[in-house]
Amino acid sequence: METIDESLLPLFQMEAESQCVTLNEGIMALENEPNNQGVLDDLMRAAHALKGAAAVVGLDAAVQLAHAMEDCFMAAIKGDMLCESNVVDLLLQGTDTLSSISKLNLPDFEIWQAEQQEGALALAGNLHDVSVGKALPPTTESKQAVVATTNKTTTDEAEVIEEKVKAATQPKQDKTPQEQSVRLSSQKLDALMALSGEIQLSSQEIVPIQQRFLDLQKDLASIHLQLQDLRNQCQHESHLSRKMEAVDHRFQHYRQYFTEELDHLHDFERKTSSISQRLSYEIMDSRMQKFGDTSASLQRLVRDTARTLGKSVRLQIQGEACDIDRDIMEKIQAPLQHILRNAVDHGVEMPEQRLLAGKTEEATILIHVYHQAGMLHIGIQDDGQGIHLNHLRQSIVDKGLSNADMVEKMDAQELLDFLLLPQFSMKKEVSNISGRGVGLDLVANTIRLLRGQLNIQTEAGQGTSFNIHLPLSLSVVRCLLVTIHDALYGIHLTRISAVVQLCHDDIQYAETRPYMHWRDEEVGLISASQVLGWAQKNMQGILDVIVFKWNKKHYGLIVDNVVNESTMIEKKLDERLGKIKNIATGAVDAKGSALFILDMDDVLLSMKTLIESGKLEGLHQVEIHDSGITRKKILVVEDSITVREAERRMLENKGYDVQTAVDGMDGWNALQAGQVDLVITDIDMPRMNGIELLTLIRSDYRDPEIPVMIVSYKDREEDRLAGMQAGANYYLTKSSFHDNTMLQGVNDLIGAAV
Amino acid sequence: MSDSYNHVTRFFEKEAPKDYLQAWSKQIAQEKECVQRQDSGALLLKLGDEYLAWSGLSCLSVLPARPIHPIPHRSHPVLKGISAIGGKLVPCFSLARLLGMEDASPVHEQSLILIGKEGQVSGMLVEHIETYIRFHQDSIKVLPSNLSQTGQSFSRGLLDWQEQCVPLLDESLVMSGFERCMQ
Repeated sequence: METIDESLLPLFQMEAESQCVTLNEGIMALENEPNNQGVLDDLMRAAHALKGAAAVVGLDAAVQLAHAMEDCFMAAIKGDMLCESNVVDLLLQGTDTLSSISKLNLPDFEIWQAEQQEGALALAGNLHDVSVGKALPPTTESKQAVVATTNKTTTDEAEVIEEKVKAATQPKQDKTPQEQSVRLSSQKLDALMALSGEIQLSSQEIVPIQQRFLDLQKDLASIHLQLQDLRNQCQHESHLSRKMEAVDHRFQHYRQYFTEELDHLHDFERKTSSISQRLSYEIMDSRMQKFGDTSASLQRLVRDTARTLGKSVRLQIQGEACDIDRDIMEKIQAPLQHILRNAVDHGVEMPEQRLLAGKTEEATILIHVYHQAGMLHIGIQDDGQGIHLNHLRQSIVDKGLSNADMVEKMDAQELLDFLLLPQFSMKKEVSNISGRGVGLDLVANTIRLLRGQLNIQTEAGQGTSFNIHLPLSLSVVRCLLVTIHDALYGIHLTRISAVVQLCHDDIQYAETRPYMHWRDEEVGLISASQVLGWAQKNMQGILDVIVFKWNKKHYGLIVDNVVNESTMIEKKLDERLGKIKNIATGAVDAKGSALFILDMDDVLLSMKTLIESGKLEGLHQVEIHDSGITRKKILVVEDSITVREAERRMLENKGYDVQTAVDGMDGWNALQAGQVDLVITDIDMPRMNGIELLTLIRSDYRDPEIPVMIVSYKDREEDRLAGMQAGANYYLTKSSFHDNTMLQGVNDLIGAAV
Repeated sequence: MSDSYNHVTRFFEKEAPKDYLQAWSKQIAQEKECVQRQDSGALLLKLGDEYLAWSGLSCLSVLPARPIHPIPHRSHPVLKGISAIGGKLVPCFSLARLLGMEDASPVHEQSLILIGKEGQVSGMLVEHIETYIRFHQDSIKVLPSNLSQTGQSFSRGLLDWQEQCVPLLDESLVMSGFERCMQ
């Protein structure tokens, strides 16, 4: 058994990780430009460095493999070998194997040796054979890749080549040295960020001291004048005058000393403040990485998938220089890979079909990354066959998820949302790449957890695009700081349409509801104090109004004061507090005080509910008397407007009093606001899904025994079990409301409407 | 064999002095002087007119009271809000309100005691910390029946301090009491 130096293993792993990226990128580039000397030099250097690092740790198999790859690159530099696709395949296999070796822990290494070392050594043998001009073994499908040169090189040529090889194996002087990196957990970064904030605050503590010293300096100047005055008065009494002069001299000395020390204090304050700000900026910046850092792995994925399927696909990436939070980057990898695999398999047609459709033989997938309005946008667009909505409608009906009438009424967005359901696939055959219907639901789920949105657009025959909108960072946000009920709150700048100053007299009333006229629109107004559940303050003088847009309408939130605009570092709230209504996260302001950042989706829903329910404070509330008959109340929680409305109509026809909510969070807020007799909820919804809502009801609601019915497209047994385990009283699939199953279920749970 | 080994062997093989065994027997037979070691410590907190002891083990740090941000839609009087401490947001509560003492005498909360564990730190507001006392676990007296049988007590016993008895608070009861007020 090889003796592996465990202490050096982590260093080798880091080196291997970066060299494997270089190898991957270089080999892929070689496929298009087999004779690119610059690329070959880089590859040679990477393989050489990796061989050296593996030798130091004692990983013999990795040494042999890297050596064989180095032989190949050397042969290519000499012109003895041409890197055709089959050679590229072998070299990529070599890179993958080196990468997997480098990720092994010491205990796993023995298992790897027993099971896979032989394969790795055989691969090294094949690569070596290729480099010396031997044909590949017949087991590989690839064609003969090696162009063995029979021409003898002249002595001069040999010397030139030798120098080239020598130059390639030496470290490059003209390129920037590769950045050294260390791994750091995000918790550690958060702790550093919190400490740098503390340093910034501490450095500010010196400012009031400075101010007091400046005041003292002014006092000293006035004492000096008084002293001079006294000296003038004592001019005729020589002994007093001498004493006064001595006192004044000493006073001047101390005053000078004081001024110098004050200058030092100024310098110190300036330096500390600048350093603490830079420290904070550097730590914030260290959370970010370039999107381009993942380009190589995505290129590789598209190439391998296309090659397996016999398709020709080019991946084009725009916006590689975009900064992305490391946490987001890590979590978005799997969804991106899944969408790309789907695009190659489902979206892109076979070359002959493309030609028939008048397209180029090679398909293009474009990834477009850009920042806009404080959000990160990632668009993945293919020029394939697109999704035929009629085929999709048919699939939905065939799978029994809905009936023909219902799907006809659904718009494109609602139809495309079915693609995000578990086990929903339009492919008739299952392959090892796609068709199982597993994945897009996970993609949507991951994006939702990252507080992002996924939107699918398609045009039959033209292609499909997946648009992902994500926050730039999970922790750093630009906020407008405002005071509400004498406490500080942050509002995400991206959500604000305008900040308006309004005289109290400019407020108008329609049916007792206040509004203002703004940009040719009547904007409903509501006090932020009331939205947050505090007593409404007396509004006098000039009012600060924050205007938001929601569902094509504007709403105005009246705050006590607008303080300033600031970059805040979001801080998680204590989990024991649970979800606080209208609050997203917390933060710490420049003075070191805590503040809350508002959850604008929640706030807007609260505003809308308050406005619509006529519960605005100080307004006349119309009481509705309905001849004493109390109808049973049902809360329907569903994100699809079509299904929500269908359920509402069916239940209202039976006489129930129906209230609706657009997602789990909205539903939970509605439950807090009033009592209902039954909750009917979907599972897949943004912000809070049905299972989360149900769990919250069973653990934290004032009436945890309230009946809950789940109506979902998820018809697998495990989904039903998950729903029942979370505490559902009934689990129905959405196809059930074509018959009377749902109404029967409602009747079983709460009886008739009246 | 080394020299030191030989010295040791010679020492133990030597005959003991005549009165050696008697002297030790007498010593061991004597009744032990009962000196109780004080193995625990507690902060003595002042709340209004009352003093209470809080075990020092669960105290992370003591700070002067600082601005506290009230939490919307959480109106429980015990939960005062969140405060930024060391760059983190810590939920803070009033011990006087939890114990229902605020009505008896006014409490001016000037000190904040950080309690709990990493990730679940809470700030407990008290009037001030009088002193630090040491005691032995065996010296904790049982609670009076009107407290121990109510099921509403937050104390686990009484401690003697300057000729008076002060309740020793039970940290787990106080913590769970506070956590009930958070939701």
